[in-house]
Amino acid sequence: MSSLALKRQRRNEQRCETAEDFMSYYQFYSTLRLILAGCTLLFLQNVAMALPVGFKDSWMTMGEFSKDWKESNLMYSFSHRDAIGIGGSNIRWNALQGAQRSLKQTDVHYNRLLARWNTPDSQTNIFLLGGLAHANGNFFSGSQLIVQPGLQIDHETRRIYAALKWHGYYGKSLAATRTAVAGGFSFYPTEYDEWQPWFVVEVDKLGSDFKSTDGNIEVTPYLRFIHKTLFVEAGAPQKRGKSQGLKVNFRYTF
Amino acid sequence: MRTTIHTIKTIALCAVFIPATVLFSSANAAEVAKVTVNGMVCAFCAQGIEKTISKLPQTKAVYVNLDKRIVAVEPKDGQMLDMAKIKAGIVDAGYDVVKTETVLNTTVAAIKAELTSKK
Repeated sequence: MSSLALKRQRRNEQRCETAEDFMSYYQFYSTLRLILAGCTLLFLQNVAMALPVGFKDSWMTMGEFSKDWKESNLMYSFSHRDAIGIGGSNIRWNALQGAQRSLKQTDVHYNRLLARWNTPDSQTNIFLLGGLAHANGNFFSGSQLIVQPGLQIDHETRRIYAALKWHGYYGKSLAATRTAVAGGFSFYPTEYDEWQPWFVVEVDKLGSDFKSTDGNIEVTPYLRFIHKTLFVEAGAPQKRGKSQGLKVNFRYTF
Repeated sequence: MRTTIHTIKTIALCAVFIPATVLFSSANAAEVAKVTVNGMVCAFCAQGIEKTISKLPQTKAVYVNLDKRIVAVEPKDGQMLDMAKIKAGIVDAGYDVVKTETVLNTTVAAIKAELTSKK
């Protein structure tokens, strides 16, 4: 041990001679950690969201494109609480049964804002999502009706975003779920007519019949950009540490 | 004679100046609605406010300030704003109105300059 390290050790021993000394050091560092955590939250307190219901009489296009999941939708909001839409998706996964499964859905949706809390610095929403799909797949013959219930809870400020989303897919030959938790922060606050960049991490869990031999949990760090009518994010999804290519989501309101 | 010419000049100047002042003030300053709104945290969502209020026939200009939570609306020349319709537009966009006020003899541009300079 070097002389410098010995000196440091001796100094530390003198500092922590008694249990009281140790406790006071422990409390000091615990308090410091709390203060640092508080400062971080305060720094971030000043989101970004893309909600499944827009404002009254607005149209919104939405898309999600990744290696195994492609989905696009067109929604019309006839009030700020209700939206209807049509869409389609093309999904494939390596099923636990040992074969690659694919599912093509053409669907109609109804999304409902159940509750909203507007405060001076934040907005919190609970949405109920519903869909009916006409589906074709390589693991059943003919076509089937798929019921797609869903729930989304989100909270956002101008600097923080957090969301919990759940979607179900239930038909005669399919019972599957997709649960996502997302959170992120904006690099800096921006004004209404400025581009706002965000960093968001989303963790997706595919359940029941969507379970895959490649892994059921996908972690995607995103860079998100928002400018008034346009919301676009690009991410690099990973499953079990393996890259899943590029994932792009966008929304455009008009 | 000189006094008469001077009087005519004065009347002529007033005749030009007074209507010009009235025209200038009506073209550049009006009763602007200034509304404080809760829940405006994101431009992607708040654009609903701008679009909804811009559709009102009396609206000349709309300004949204996320930092101060303000929506300012300027009427077209010679028109009056309907505050009830502005409030309804903001509610239809999904937000809560907490305060409304009317600011006399100003413009949306002036309110924007004032709010951004206070940053």
